[in-house]
Amino acid sequence: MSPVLIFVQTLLSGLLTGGLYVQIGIGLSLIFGVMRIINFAHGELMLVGMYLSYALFTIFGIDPFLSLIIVAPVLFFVGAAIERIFIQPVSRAKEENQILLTVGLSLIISNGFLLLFGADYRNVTTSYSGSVFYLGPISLSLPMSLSFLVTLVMTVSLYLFLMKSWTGRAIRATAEDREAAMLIGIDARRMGLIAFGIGTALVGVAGSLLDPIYYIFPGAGGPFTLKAFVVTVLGGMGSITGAMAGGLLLGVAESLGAVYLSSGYKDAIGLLLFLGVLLVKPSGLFGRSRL
Amino acid sequence: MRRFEIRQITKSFGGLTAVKEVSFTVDAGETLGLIGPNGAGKTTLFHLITGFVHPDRGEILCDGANLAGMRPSAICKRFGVTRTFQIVRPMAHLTLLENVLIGALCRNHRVREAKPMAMAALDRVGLADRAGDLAGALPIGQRKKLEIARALATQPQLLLLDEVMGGLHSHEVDGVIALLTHLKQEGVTLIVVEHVMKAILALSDRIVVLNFGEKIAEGTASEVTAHPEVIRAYLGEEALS
Amino acid sequence: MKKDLAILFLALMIMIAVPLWAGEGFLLHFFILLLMNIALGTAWNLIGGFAGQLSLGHAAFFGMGAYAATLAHLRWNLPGWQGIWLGGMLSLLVALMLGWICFRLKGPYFALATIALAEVLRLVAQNWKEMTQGSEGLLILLPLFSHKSQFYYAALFITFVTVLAATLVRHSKLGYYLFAIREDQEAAESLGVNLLGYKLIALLVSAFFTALAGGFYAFYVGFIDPASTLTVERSVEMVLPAIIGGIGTVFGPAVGAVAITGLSEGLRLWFLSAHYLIYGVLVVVVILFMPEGILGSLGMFWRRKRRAPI
Repeated sequence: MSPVLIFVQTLLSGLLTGGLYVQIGIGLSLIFGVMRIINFAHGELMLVGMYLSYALFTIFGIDPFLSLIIVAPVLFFVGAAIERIFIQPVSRAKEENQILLTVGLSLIISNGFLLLFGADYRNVTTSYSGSVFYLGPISLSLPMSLSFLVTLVMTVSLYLFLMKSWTGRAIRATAEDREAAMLIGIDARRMGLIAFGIGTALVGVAGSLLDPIYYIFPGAGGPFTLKAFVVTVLGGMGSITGAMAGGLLLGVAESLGAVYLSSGYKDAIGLLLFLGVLLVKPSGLFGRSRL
Repeated sequence: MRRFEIRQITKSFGGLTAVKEVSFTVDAGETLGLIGPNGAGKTTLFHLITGFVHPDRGEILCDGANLAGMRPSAICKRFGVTRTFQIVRPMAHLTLLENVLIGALCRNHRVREAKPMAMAALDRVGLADRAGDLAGALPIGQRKKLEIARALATQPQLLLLDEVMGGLHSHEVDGVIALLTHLKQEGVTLIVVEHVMKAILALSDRIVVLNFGEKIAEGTASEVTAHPEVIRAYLGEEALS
Repeated sequence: MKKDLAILFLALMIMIAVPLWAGEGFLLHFFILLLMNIALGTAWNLIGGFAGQLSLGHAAFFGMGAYAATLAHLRWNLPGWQGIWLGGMLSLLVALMLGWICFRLKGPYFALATIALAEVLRLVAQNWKEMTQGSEGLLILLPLFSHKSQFYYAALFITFVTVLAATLVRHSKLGYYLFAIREDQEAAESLGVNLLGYKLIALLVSAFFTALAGGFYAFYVGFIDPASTLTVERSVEMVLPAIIGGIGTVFGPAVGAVAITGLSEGLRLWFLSAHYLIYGVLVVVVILFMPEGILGSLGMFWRRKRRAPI
């Protein structure tokens, strides 16, 4: 293939991966925007989605792309429960303590799965798991392309929800200025709960989307938590559009880096980008507070 | 004691000019009152003098040396400029003594020698008997005194007091006025931002009036209270006629 | 200060006698692990507890100490102590860079940055195969000591020095300044506390002792790889003793280390791989109900009792 084609191929693959990163990171950005909480258990919540989809596939034969209809609401309730039981009580405590609490939760969830399912690498192999389709000479993974579409739909839906619906606007108000929102009668605590639920649902769906193409094991969550942070910081904590841009940027950067630099250090690229943004423009490429 | 001069200090935040070309001097041992309606830029001016905010233009001179752009810790250590905060900031999990000790350690590295200095500062504000209590347990009036003691322990050349009387009842206000009068007698240079007129009139040698970020009047208490711009700023156009 | 030093020396006397009755088997191994956890927890507490800067990437220093000591031994035939010391020196350099980069950031960003840095180091260790053998790890075939009790005394020495440093810091100007930084950075600055400078000092000391412990670990276990030295799990393990025992106290991490080592080794006999689950539960329970940690809560309880009218 000509160098131009290689570049385009790399770029497109990167965008597809970026779509997944968007799906993973957008929930974290929403949660941070509304509650100012850094959720270190984010990747483990994705793991819940992964295992749930896996169970639905193995027991009932439901395809992950279909089971996300079940996964999303289940994860919403899981997130809401976690928020009410664990996060709420420490919302007044020091930031450091809140962070540590979520670290503790991440340990509980990932090791809980270790006990339940063992350390084995499992996977969900569907008829299309390895499939590829062609745009001319460029090959694109079918499941990842489908995931990209799902993410596109979900992100647009989220955007519309935040912009048009009353609850969505209330959530944005809470994110922008909590006290002002409370003054006009918005139940900020409830908004936080809903935001946490939505954020968890989004990342849970990411888990379903990952099932056909990635291994499912208890340690799978951790690296994605870090990726989610990179996405949110790149785009600006609390910014949905920023998370979209950040996710795509991360995907493309990793893809280009893997092909043109070194595949072993692929993950390091995102981290270095992350550190760079923290140093130069900590508010992210798109600033914050504008959901 | 040092002489401080603020020269054409200007600071804007986005489109808003918080402080505009403000100039005045503070002589050694003088007490300068700084008044103005809410939002006039008084606290911003304090941030600028103590280094928490850096000016866009202008200079802050201490015996000729320009402080503008330096870090607050350097401004405190090298030039002896320190402040209290409008919303008190006690270090709640430390004891009163430990709080003031932080200030005292600025001038003396040895904890063993700094502790008695800290106790002395606590004594001056009348809190010595509560030295072992946690600062978080104090009521607001005593928190304000604690903050003064903490600042005093740094042996300041210039002490900036930001609405120290705010929220105190009149008995406590008298107590703080007495404390500050003592400080004046010892020669400490003060800039006092206050809304409590009783305090300003009792303590200030001179008064500077700010409005919308600009200095609109400067002089003695009687000069300033008779100044038409000042009356207009506080009471509106009609009060002039 | 005197009280703390007295406690420290008393503890030293007790611990010196351990090999006399603990034998050379599992029990002594348990005490060596305990000492290591005390050292690591106390070292972390200097920056995480005293200064209030939550580092979740301390594995970077641990791993650096481990790899430096091992490579010095394997490639340049440096004797054990020199290798460990070299690891300490190297960690100072990295800590300086890390601190300079991260201390300009507030709270959660700092924590994230420390994770990112540790992760970058892990990826380097995994991919720089010529130097580190990547995931295969490095093996020290010839043990440094012939008797386990010698390892024990080496660990005791390192731990003692670390806790001694923490005690000295706690009662010095540095200690008080760090507490002030933790309480209220801006108020501290207005009183003349140079934030960056003091945070850096705390991080340097913390990194140094963490690296020493890492070097010891390498020689004791005889095998290191990125998965055992540079992971987030390792970083979290270093944070646990202080959280559970009492952040911001001198002996809190030691108390926490006893709890953690006891639990994990005790559980290992029955439960095998679930000790991280227990850690997670412990953290959640402590944060929800006892955020000051064991010693911290005891301290507050004591204070309240003293003030209560008779």
